[in-house]
Formats: sequence, structure tokens, C-alpha cells
Amino acid sequence: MSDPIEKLQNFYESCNGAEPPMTATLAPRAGNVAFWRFASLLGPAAGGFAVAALAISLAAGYVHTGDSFGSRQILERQMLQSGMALDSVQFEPAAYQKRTELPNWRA
Amino acid sequence: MERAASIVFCSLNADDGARAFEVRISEWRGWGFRLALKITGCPEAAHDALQNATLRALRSRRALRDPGAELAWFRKIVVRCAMDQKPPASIDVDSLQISDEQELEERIQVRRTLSRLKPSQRAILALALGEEFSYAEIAEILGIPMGTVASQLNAAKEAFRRLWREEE
Repeated sequence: MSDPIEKLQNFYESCNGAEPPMTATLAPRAGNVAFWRFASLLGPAAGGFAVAALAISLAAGYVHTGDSFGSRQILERQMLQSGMALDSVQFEPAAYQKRTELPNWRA
Repeated sequence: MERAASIVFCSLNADDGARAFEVRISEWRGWGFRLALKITGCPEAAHDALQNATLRALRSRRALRDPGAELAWFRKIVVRCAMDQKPPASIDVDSLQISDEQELEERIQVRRTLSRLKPSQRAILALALGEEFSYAEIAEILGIPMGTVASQLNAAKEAFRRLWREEE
């Protein structure tokens, strides 16, 4: 029975001809480092303000997320205004993916 | 190539030394990848190790005082990063690109066995059997007493043999 170490040495010999992938450059990673260095300059306050502004916008309905959750909220609001029972309609997210206008629920 | 590297490293303390370092270190991608591949046993892990080593070397380049030791310095970083990489549990057989069935089975078994070794064992096997470094060089790279290299190497070989039999 051959020594398993010989198999390992065969593997090492096969590695001698290996070349790294062409994507193995520092540029993308350096770019990532530069991005985070830039972001860190903004400080946590700026990031917190942005998160708060987004949350407020979502809650007020000014931002349509385009996903089923945001669309469901708009649909339920419309149904309540029209007097429809919420469980009388099957919600189909696809129908609301293409909406370009928010309903005027403030009227 | 070593003299060229020495000249480049003399500019490391300059503010634009980072860019020069990035350009020149690309010349070492080949052997760095092969060394990491022998330690990790996996091309993807070797790629990640090389990227991490390059980034770590870039960040700590100012700590290098002796330009003549730049290759050994970077080699240590590559070995450390390769040891930190955990080989993936699954093997993409198609990526091995081996047509011979017996050779393919052997390669898969080698990778599985290597993945079960301790990182220090994978490293010492790669440095001694794969790169054929001397015991003194291995001790320097791994930061271990030279008197323990032979015993650690034998222990690593026995561990590989034992795990190989378990894989069969």
C-alpha cells in the first residue's frame, strides 16, 4: 500500500503550475477600503439622520417601497376608505408592483 | 526580482508608497497563491488568503524597516492568512478539471484530509514537503523553536496518514 504522503506530494506538485484568478487584484478591495474610510468620515450622526428620515417617510406613505408590505398598506387604506372588508379581497402584490402614483388618501 | 522588490520597498515610507506597493506586490501574486493553495488545499480559500495577505501587508507596510527582508515578511503574512482560512466543507468537483477518475478521487481525498488537519499541521506540511524550506526557515516563518520542527512535522504526517485511512 502506497504512503498517503505521496498523494499529498503529488498534490503539491500539481499546485506548482497554478495561477491565481485574474480577479485576484487589490483594486476592488482597495476600493472597498476607500469607500468605508469615506463613509466613516460622515460620522454616525449623518447616518442616523438618514435612517430616521427614511423611517419617517415610510411611515407617512411618501415612499413606496415597491414590495408587498408597502403595497399592502396602500391597498388596505384604500379598502377602508371605500368601506370594503379587508378579508373580502385576495391581495395580489403583482398588481401593485407597477403603480406609479400613491393614492390620495389625504383627501 | 528581489533587487527590484528592494528598490520598491525603499519608497514605502513615502506617502504614495501605498500605490507603488500595490503595483509591485502584484508580481508576487503567483507564488503567494501557490503557497496559500498548498496550505489551504482549496483555490477559493487560497484566493481569499492572498487577498487578505495583500491587504494586511498594505496596512502594515510602514512597520517594515529592512527592505532586504520584504519577501520573507510578505511570505509570513501569506502563511498566516492561509492558516486563518477554513477550507470549505464541500468540494466543487467540476472546478478541479481532472479527467482521470483515479486522479480525481485522489485529489478529492487529499483536499478532504487536509481540511480535517489543524491549520498548523497544514502549514508545516506545505512548507516542508510542498515548498521544501529548511527547518530553520520553517521555524522562522511559523515562529516556532527550530528544535520542534522535526517532531511537529512527523506529527503532522502521522495525522495526515490517520485521517487518510479514515476517509477511505
